Amino acid sequence: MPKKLPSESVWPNWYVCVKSGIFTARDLRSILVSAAYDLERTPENRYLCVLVDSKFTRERVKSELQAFKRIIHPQMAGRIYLTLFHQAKGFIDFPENEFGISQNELRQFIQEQVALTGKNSPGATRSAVLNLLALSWLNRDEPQTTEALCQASGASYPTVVNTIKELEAENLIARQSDRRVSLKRFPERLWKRWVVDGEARKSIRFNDRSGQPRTPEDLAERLQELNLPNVAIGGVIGAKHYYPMLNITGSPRLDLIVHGGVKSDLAFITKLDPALRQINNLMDPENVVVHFLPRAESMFIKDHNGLLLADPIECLANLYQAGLDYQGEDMLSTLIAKRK
Amino acid sequence: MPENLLPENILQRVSNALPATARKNIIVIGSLAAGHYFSNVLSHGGVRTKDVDCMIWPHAHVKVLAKNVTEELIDHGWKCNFTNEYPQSYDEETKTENLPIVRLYPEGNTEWFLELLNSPNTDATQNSMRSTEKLNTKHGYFALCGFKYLGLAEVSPIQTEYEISIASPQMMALANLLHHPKIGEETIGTTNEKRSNKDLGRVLALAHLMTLSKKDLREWPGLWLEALEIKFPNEVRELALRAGNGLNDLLNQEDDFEQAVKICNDGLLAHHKVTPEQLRSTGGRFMGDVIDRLKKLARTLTVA
Repeated sequence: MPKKLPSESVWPNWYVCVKSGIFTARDLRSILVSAAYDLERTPENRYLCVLVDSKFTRERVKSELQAFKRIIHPQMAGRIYLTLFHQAKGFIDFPENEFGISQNELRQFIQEQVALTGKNSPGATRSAVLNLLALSWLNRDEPQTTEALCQASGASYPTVVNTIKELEAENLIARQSDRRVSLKRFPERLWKRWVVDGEARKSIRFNDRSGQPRTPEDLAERLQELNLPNVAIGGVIGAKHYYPMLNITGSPRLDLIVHGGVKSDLAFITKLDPALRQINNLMDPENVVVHFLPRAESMFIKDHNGLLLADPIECLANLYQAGLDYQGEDMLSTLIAKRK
Repeated sequence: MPENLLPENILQRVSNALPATARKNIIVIGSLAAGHYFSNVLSHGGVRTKDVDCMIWPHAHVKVLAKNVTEELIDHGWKCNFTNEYPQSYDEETKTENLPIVRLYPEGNTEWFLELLNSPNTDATQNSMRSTEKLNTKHGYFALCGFKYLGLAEVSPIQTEYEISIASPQMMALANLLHHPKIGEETIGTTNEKRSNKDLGRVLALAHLMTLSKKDLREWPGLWLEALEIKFPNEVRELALRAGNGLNDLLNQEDDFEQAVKICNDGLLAHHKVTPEQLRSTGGRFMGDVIDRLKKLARTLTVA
């Protein structure tokens, strides 16, 4: 599965962290604290954080970094770097000699990371955290630390903490003595509000222009031929894997889940079917809908035919978004009952 | 404007008029063959055409067979279409290019005609796309034409209930593609319609009807390679790699593509009326499902 590339594999002894949507001092300081924790565990490493499209000025970033370095051990302080990158203008400040990292290589790395993670929308990341917790609950996984949720979801530390607080207020969170958290039950109402109805779920719709639309099953088979590790099938086809009794004959459309943000490359759509065209009018019927999964871990699986499938929570969300509420309710209640 | 013909009626009529022994040596090609093959999706309104192209095969016996067929049809009342430009000729010295081709109208009918072609002469088509041979009949001399890649129609023809065969859509499409490696300037008769636009557009029309018939175009590349191995064993790789060039040009040349759409809608797709966007989508799919796959297969072949 593709995930955020470890920067250590590109530049030895460097941990390069690319962050979009960092606009507040609180978020910035949170990043620096995380960096300090990481560096304590790996004293041989240096840490470079690239703030993408941030509103911070060069001076402000410099002063925040200096203030932070004053309160940590000098040996660690010398190993933390911050730089600003604007997607349209490039690097705002880049002391190449000091980093020993090629600017061009780093630019490419940043673009890959931005495409993979997408825009850091607060709503989307809150949904991402909830989806992970819900999936974890369904799978009876071990409770998770806040850091693990940050890493898996791609959400910032404050977002994860706030999400957990919101869930706690709804009496949905069980905390272990070591602060690890899990859901007490499946948060049906909240999940539908955040994930299904929330505007955070960006999707792109395509319809057929040939007059001879390919069936979703045919398209799914062709997707498999393309062998893309970052595109999975969701919707009815995916849901049927987790719940074979799903009460529907055939799939009305093909739901695809792209592991990455809204800026992910969708050139594969033309290879999948040159007759597909993007549509914006919600009244136009769609044949294919692409959803984005901007979290760090895709959690895609392969079925026995080798089809790459999204997780059951994603498939479930696709059912509701397609207006298949009855099927969605049926699947959800069955998954919950099986879990119990 | 060409008439709507019902393929079954025409095939039956042609078959009935032919010498019984010659029926197995006739392969109907072109839109009538497509009309028969796709009768399930073209059942409303038939096929709009005026010519019924019949290829006589195999090449070794073509002159004797063509002589018998021509004489039998004329004896059954079919009429030749002689013109001032190509009059009837009993003169052995008349050059082949000045002879009429065998174009016969059934008795009492001027809506459509049968045209005889021959299985291409392999020697004559070594350096040319076309071979022309002189045919001697009791009704005079005729020219018998063959086209280099039309020999592909002889691969797995489809037997009809009328004893004569039709060419498979796959082989007709491949013959058309190979015949037009680019958009040529030759026009049809007195029209401004380019021959290449008609023939390459026909490939898209066949693909459209194949999809309508729920048949998978991805089977074509394998069938094409087998046919090329049979008919052009020394050129398989080269032909397979260039088969899509003309179609690619058509899809990229707006005016030619629009003309191809019009010709399709006036002919084989007259009762479907595809839009340029629809046929372009069919073209995009065809390039991916057939041409790209064919090239991929061809690249695995060793160079001859």
